[in-house]
Amino acid sequence: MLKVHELSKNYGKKQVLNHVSFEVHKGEIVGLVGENGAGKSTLLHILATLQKQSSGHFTIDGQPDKNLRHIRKQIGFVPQEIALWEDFTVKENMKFFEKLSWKRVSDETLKALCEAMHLHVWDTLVRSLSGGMKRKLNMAISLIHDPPILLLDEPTVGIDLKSKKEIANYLTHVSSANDKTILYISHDMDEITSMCDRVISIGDDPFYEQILTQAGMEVTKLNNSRD
Amino acid sequence: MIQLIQTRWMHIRNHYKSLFFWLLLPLFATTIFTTIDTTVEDQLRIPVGIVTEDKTPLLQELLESIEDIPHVDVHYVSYEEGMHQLENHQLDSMYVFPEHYDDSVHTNERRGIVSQYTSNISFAAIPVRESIVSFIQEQLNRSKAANTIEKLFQTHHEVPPTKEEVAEISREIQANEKLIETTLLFSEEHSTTPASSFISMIDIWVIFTLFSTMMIFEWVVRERNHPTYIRVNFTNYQPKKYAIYQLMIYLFLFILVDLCMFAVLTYGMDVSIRLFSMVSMIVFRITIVCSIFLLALLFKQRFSYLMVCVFLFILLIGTSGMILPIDGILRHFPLFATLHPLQPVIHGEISYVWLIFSSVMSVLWLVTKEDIHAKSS
Repeated sequence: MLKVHELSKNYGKKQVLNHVSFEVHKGEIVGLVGENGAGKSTLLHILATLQKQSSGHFTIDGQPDKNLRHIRKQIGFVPQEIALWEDFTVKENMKFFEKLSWKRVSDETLKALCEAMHLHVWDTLVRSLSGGMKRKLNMAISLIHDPPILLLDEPTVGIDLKSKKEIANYLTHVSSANDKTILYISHDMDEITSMCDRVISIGDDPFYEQILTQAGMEVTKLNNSRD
Repeated sequence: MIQLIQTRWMHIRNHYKSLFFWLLLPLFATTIFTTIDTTVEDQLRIPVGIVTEDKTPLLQELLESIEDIPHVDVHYVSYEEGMHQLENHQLDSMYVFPEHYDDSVHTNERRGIVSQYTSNISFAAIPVRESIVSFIQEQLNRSKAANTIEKLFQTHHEVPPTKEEVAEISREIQANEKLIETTLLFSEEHSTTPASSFISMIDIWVIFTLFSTMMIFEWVVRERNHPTYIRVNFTNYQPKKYAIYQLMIYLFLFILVDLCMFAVLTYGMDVSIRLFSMVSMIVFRITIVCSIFLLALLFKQRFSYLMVCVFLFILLIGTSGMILPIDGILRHFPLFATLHPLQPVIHGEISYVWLIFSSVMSVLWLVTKEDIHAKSS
């Protein structure tokens, strides 16, 4: 589903990614871990076509990264920041992005999508929602066009355990039931071990790799020796 | 497109008070200004009483000329009524025309052709009298010329033209040669006399349109730098396409409001606006919408954008000549009038320089490779 080949990224002289290569198969949930500044978010932004790599390439569903429109159609990107219109209701946020989406979706389907994530507040203003509810809506909007691959950048940061579990359960469900491929950045090792099929470790610090190996996870260490 | 209108409406619905305030501000400011201008002008007109029972054509023609005198407000009154109003200073002066005014003109009988009454504080009686006398003089001379020509033909035993024909030819000559319409100018100066008071109305419209457009386009800064904007990358509308469609929606709203203003002024307030002036105002609207949109794209902070807008607004208005005189600048740098974004429109012309510039820049922005790979957050 996702093939990354020799991807590098420099910010001026600073190298963030150094010839990283990996694959993620259809229906897999893959955790992306590493210390702060290791390049996880940069990698995810490059795969989401929001940043350009310095060299290397990747394909999604066989389509090269140059085919921007097709690639973006395949992606459901959940940003780390809560990307919602605060003065809209949950319904208005969902409908707003449905209107812009490639795919027409009925109100019932949109509502069902929210409810599947245990978000049962349809007509409430976003600004009055809890952090957990906002995170759920943040994710639900990214799923409106039913993308086959989800790229999630710490989607559960700063929320309560119950909401985390609900989101994790939902992702596990959509991955197994709908064959969705998920690449998931998180610093929460419990979340990673309970949800992910395997883990990709990025960065020089072996801390995460050791913990996850001890927890019995399959960890792929990316060759990312940086200058 | 309908989807984009719906999404825009969702935004507008939450900020409709602010949007409609700025959107309608130029319309209200212009119509209120025009109303006040007309009211003040009406109140400043000199009340002049006319007493006559005569309905003869020449007198009617004279009365029409008097009514057309700028700043004179003609009141048709009876003699007694007029005298009463004059004593109460409701009239500045009064003019009584005798019966058979036409006969007096045709026989060139100047005595008693008009009687003037003034009060002890009449302030404009002399200029009004001079104006009326000049119109009477004009009719007397025309009649005298016709009589002279008639006599000449009779002397030579030929068929003479009628007095009416001579008078008609005289009017045509007067109209074509504009004998009494002259502008006094110093040598090597061009007339700067405005064609009508409409220029002031355009000034008001330009000031409020410029400022309100700047304020409304704060949405570009607000929305483009909102975390939500990153999501537009994963929709059917790429960010540039999305932005340009939104721009078109706003442009449509602006032009709709402008057309409403033209309708209100033309049909509701009886203000005559030249078609070319309307075109120049619409072109100005398109130009500033494109220019301000491009300007807004450069900013990440609303505060910085608003500060720059206020600075630009003061600079443009201050150098436009609407408030401060810029005759000296224009004399030394004639190109200034062409290059200044507001100068052409306040003179009812089209700013081709800025229209072309803003159009080219907009097209360049549109066709250059989209900053799709630029990190949005």
